[in-house]
Amino acid sequence: MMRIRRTLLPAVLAATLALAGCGSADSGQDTADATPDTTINGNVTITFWHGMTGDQEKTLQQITDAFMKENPKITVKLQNQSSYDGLQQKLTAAQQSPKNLPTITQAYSSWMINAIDDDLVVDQTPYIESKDQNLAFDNWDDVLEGLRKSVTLDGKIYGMPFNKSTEVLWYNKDMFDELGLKVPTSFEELETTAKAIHDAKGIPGAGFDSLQNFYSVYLSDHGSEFGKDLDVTGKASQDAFTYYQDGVRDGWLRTAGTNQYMSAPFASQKVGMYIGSSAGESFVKEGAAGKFTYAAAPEPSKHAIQQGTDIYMFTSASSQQRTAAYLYEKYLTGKDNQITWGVQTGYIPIRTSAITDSKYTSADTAIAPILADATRNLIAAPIKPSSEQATTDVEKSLEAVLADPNSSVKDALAKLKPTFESDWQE
Amino acid sequence: MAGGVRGWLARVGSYSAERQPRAWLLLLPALACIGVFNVLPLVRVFVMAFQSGSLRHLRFAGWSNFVAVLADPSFVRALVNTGVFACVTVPVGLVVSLMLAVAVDSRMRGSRVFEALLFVPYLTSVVAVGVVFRYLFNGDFGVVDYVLSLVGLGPFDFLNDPRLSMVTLCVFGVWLSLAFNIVILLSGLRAIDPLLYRVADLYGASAWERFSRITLPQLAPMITFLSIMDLINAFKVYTEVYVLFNGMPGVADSAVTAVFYVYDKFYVQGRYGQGMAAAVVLFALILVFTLLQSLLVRRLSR
Repeated sequence: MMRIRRTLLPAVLAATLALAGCGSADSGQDTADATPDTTINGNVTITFWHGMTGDQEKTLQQITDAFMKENPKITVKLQNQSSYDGLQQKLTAAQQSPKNLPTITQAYSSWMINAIDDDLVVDQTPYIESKDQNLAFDNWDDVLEGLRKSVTLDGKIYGMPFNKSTEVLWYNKDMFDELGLKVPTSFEELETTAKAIHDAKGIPGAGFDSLQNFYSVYLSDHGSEFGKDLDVTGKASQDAFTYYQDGVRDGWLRTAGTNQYMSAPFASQKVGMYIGSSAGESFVKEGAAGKFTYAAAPEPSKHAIQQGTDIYMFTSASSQQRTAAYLYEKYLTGKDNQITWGVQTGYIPIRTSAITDSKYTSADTAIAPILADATRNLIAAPIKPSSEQATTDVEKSLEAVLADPNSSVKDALAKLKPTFESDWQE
Repeated sequence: MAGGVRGWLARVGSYSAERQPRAWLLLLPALACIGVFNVLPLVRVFVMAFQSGSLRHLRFAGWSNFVAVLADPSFVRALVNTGVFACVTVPVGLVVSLMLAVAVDSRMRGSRVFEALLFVPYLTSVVAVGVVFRYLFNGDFGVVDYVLSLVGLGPFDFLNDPRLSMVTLCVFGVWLSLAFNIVILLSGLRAIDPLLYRVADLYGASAWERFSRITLPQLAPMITFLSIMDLINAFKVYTEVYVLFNGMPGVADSAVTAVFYVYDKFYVQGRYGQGMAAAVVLFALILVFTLLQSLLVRRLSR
């Protein structure tokens, strides 16, 4: 027994070190020049990792096929990573040996912070602002402002907004008509409307899919902002917590709990309205079918959250691949394709011109006609390291306060404060 | 260990497979695989536990990750929850499966059918079972809630009430551990010499005496094995939480477990060093518990 150990250990250690050496020696970095290629010279293949399924994947394939037909030199390989969790996990793992990274990927900005720090993500500004006709983005200002902000870090554009959604108010139109209610447009009106439903039907009037989004929007509406400098014990923050806690205690608000989405209780008419993703129409439609008519309205607040993923490009790609990938991104985000994409998937077109186009607004969805209104004041979570951790901690704290409606909001926030502040430190 | 050394000393000079170079050659492929897939990741975990930063630019961070993790109330809760889960599900699971195994083993009619039925859960994926349990435990239309309401209890919101999250998780954990336990215990029961029972009958032993004097001591090795396996598995609980609470660690973090915490820190929060520090702490705890347990078992079986 002893003997084995003595001879085995150094051998294993040596092997380990050798392997560890190989692991960190590689680097497929920065083979491309600072000035982007303007033309595609030979055949180029690019890979695109994504986590989309169903109609979204089908639509993506359809637009991609059309792109390859127009650009016969470029082959785009769509690689489905099964889910967003799977995609995130694989991206994290691949960052250790960047040559395994795809050319482009779908990702939330928060996933990319470490990669941007590591110079693994291509700054796409030179492409977007290029003087070259072939490259230049036709009108960057046409992209919704909130979306542009969400991919820009220190003046550099790292991502192309793509699978974007905002939150809207989904409501049971039959119930509203029956009770003679008007669609709320502010937090105050939401309260009175939800109370009216609660009094008449004995069910909670409203709920929010995401407590974090509720918190961010409430703060923005009340002159504060979610971010590093937020004082969580401040007035706006306290009011936000108290608003939701009062609602849960008195029965006119509810949460999604471990269902994670309110579309299920909404479909079984256990809630009169809810604030949730604009991309959730297919679920709402399926749930309400044959039971009641639903409708959508802009979120009852001055601001609305923007969420969803963007497309990021990795520095492991060659200069030809980068240009090909950029041309593909440009194609995906063109006005006509954005209209198709928006109508077929429920995501918001990223361009103002597409959102206001009659082809889009007259489409047979509840979202299209109200979207221009719903996206007027989009706010985004800050792209900063640790914003994810801070978000989670606020959400946990709010969940705990709501689970015990008689608990003290002040105490909970005082307890949250040091955690929240240390979250932004690393 | 002492016996091993003495045995080795006794064999010095005689043939020993370990000293044959050819043996090492034959072992090489296996050792390489173990080195790459088991030892290397383990070493990296320990190294990363002392580093911070992004994956490409990790820098030495001393003990800071351990300090941060141990000071995090969420990690403390994760450890407590994991401990509670292990301390509840392992003994309860063993007792229940022993009762079921004895019942199936007794010559009741259709015991073969029951045996097969009891084993089926082992073949079903935890994820699928979790989906079913989410329906059973649902606060609005769940069967469990309905049955409890018949005897005047409730209503309970098993999935969304943070005070009940751990109860729900433990029930799920016990249920999941049954199938495998029963199969192992049944094979143990069948190996007991029937003559022992016949002699006991001759002397007029009661059913309880037969069980406590014959069955239980004869099953001791099986129960030891199962308790160690179950305990290690219980410390690694993750999938159960994920499926039962739909990807969340329970409302308000109420059912967060150690492995869930590690995963979340690493893959979701991107704090690689802290995640690995938590993994090292968990590793140390499992090691200590397993050593203690095997010590205890050796003491008992002496």
